[in-house]
Amino acid sequence: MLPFCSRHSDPHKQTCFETYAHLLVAAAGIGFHKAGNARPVACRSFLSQPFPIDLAIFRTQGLMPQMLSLGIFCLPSPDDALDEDALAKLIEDLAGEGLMEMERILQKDGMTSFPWKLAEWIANPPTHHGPSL
Amino acid sequence: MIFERLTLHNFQRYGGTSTIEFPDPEETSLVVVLAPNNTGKTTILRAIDFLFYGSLGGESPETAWKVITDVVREQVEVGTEVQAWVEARLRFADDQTVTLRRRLVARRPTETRWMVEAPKLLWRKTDGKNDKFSHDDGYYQVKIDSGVPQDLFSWFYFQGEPAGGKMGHGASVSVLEPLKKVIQIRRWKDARSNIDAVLKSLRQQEAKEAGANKVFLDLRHREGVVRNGLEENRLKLNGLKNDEREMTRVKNLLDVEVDEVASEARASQELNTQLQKHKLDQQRAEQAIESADSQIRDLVRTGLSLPLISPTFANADKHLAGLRERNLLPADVSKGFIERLLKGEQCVCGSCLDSGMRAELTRYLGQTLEAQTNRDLVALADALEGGKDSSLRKKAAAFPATFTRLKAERGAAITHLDNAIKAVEGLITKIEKAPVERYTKLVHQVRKLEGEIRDIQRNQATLAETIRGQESVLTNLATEIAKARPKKGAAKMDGISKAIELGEKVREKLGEGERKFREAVHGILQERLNHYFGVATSGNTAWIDRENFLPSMRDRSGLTVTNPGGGEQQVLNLAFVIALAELRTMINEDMASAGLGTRLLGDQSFVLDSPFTSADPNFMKAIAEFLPGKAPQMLLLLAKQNWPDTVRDTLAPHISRVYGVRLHTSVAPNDPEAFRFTWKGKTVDLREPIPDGEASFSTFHEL
Repeated sequence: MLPFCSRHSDPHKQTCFETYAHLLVAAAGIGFHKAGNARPVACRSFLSQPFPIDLAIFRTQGLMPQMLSLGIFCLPSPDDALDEDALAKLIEDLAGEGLMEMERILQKDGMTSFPWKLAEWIANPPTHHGPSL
Repeated sequence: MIFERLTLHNFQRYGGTSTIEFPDPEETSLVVVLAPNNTGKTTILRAIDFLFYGSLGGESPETAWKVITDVVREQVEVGTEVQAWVEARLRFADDQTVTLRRRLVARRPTETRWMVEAPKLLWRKTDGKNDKFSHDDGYYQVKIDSGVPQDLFSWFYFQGEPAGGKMGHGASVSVLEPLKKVIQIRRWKDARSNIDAVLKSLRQQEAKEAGANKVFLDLRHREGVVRNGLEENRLKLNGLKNDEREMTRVKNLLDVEVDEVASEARASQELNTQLQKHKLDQQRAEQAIESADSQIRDLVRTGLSLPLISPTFANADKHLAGLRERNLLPADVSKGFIERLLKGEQCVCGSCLDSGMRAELTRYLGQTLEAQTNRDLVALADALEGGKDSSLRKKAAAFPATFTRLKAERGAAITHLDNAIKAVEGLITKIEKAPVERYTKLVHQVRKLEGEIRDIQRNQATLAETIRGQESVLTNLATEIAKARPKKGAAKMDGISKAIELGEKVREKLGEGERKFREAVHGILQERLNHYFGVATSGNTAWIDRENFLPSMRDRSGLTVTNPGGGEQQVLNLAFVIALAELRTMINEDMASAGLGTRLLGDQSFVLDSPFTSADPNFMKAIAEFLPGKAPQMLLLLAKQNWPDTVRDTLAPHISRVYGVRLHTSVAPNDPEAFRFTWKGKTVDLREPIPDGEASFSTFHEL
């Protein structure tokens, strides 16, 4: 997905995500829907070496509202969303699920059509009946 | 000369008697002889050559017995004789019809020796069972030689191309001399030589009479110089006029072509305007697609999957409201501030902190949020505040509508682009086909020719002026000569002068007559050639050289085509000999009607052996389309490779009779198919097996 993030070397190139953090939040939204508006299977179960994300970066990019909203909804207690570790782990899990779907779209439709197919997925998402927490 | 019948008897390959009957020339006059390779096609040409001139086809008088068919000769007993002959019933130009036979008699004195009489021409006195032949006393031989002189034989009876394919550029003397004879150019030269000789003699007499009169002799000499110059200039002027005519003809052809392509070229300009418009449409559609692609990326970038996250907003609203109710959001005071208060003795208001107050502060401290957490929740509250008007909700709600709009815009742009591309491609194809470049080239050529024609006209005007000057000088000289004429023997001198004057006039008229005759010959040949050649080919045009009257081909630009290939040259040469035969008859008729000789030439027969040999399939068809109706009588000798379906189907409606040459042989053929010919839906095998060891021979039969 990195080619779809803007780069310092070419900031004017038209991309789908301003930063890697934006990519993860967008992916988290997709993962959230994919998992049936719930927390998906923990990414630890499918990634041997998950890389934790630094919430400070998300804060500076103004992405905390979406993350908190997801945390308040998905975590067992809304107050758990205020726990940075718990929130970070949730976003990782959601993004993991979302990125798998995004990868599927990319493989199927290719680089050129990807923005359109992704937008279509977001605008008219497929119905999922995944497990809810 | 026209054949009514042709019979070969024991002649070369043809054992026994074989006859070709020709139809009435008034009817369809095309006769075809089909023959497998090496079975006797060319023998028919040799037979006609033998009949007309007694030619032995490469045999010497000593070996002339070889003309007799092998199988016939082998059966001749010692002490006896055998005959071979070729006979034809011929119709001459004067409508006299006669049966002529050229006969060769060979006697076998011993097993290995033959004695041969020279071939003799006979004419049949009566037609019927009791044939009586008389020796020709030269009368019929002269008629034959006049009808088809031997050096013109290969122009009308030929294998492949007329005159051995030696016409056109670089034609040899063997072609040029017979052609001059046909056109009778030599008669003009002979007449001029005669008058030159008379004039020379008269001038010598005059000089003798003038004696020491140097002034008179000088004047005569000057007159001669001026007259020669005048003649030279007249020739030059005539050459320039010819050049102008040739160039004008090329220009007229080009003018016609310019007119033809001009409208197409103009139409292509309109197409170019349309092309620019569609290219602009294409550009706009591409820009619209790019814009939609860019906007969709922006939508993904700013949308951040918000439509998918939006179901969480209500829970967040509820949680934030709870925090607000508990006075935790936004935080009135920070956690650190409470901690600092609890460390001190009194409140900020100055009152002492009692235990109750401390307990209250400690409980509050347990609930207060970290400053960062507080800021995060405030940011969330700000983003969600205002219900459906909140920034997150607005973005989430707008996403699907924006996507639908952009998708529709892109779809429409793609349709426009497809239409524009199709239109552009269609127009480019049309424009590429449009002859703009050719039009420009043609106009350039026409202008160049116009310039050259103007130059020639200027040169003609200058030369005409010079000629007028020379004519004036000659008139003045005539007066001076008359004055300077010696008085002694005046009457005789006067007579000689008048004779010279008359001779010069005759000479001048002869020059003028030859020029006019050449122009007439050229005009007739050119017109007939255009008539015949124009229908058989495309693009190239036929030209007759004004000097040697040989044909050539020029392309649309007027440039000579030296090696057209494919068979086009063959069509040109065929057209030329047919035109030439007509011209020859016309000249003869004109001369006969003027009292110069008798009418010797009429309809000309043609025998074409393998005329398609060097032609590609397209030109085979073109030649086949060309031949019918072009001559009063035409005999085609064709091998299997010259008889493809296209040729057969093209010629079929015009053919009156078809003969097949049957090879009687004991040898099994390598390719039996080469002997099978199809005519009128039936396939005939032209091989007839004979017992082993017997010599092969051919016969022909009507199919």
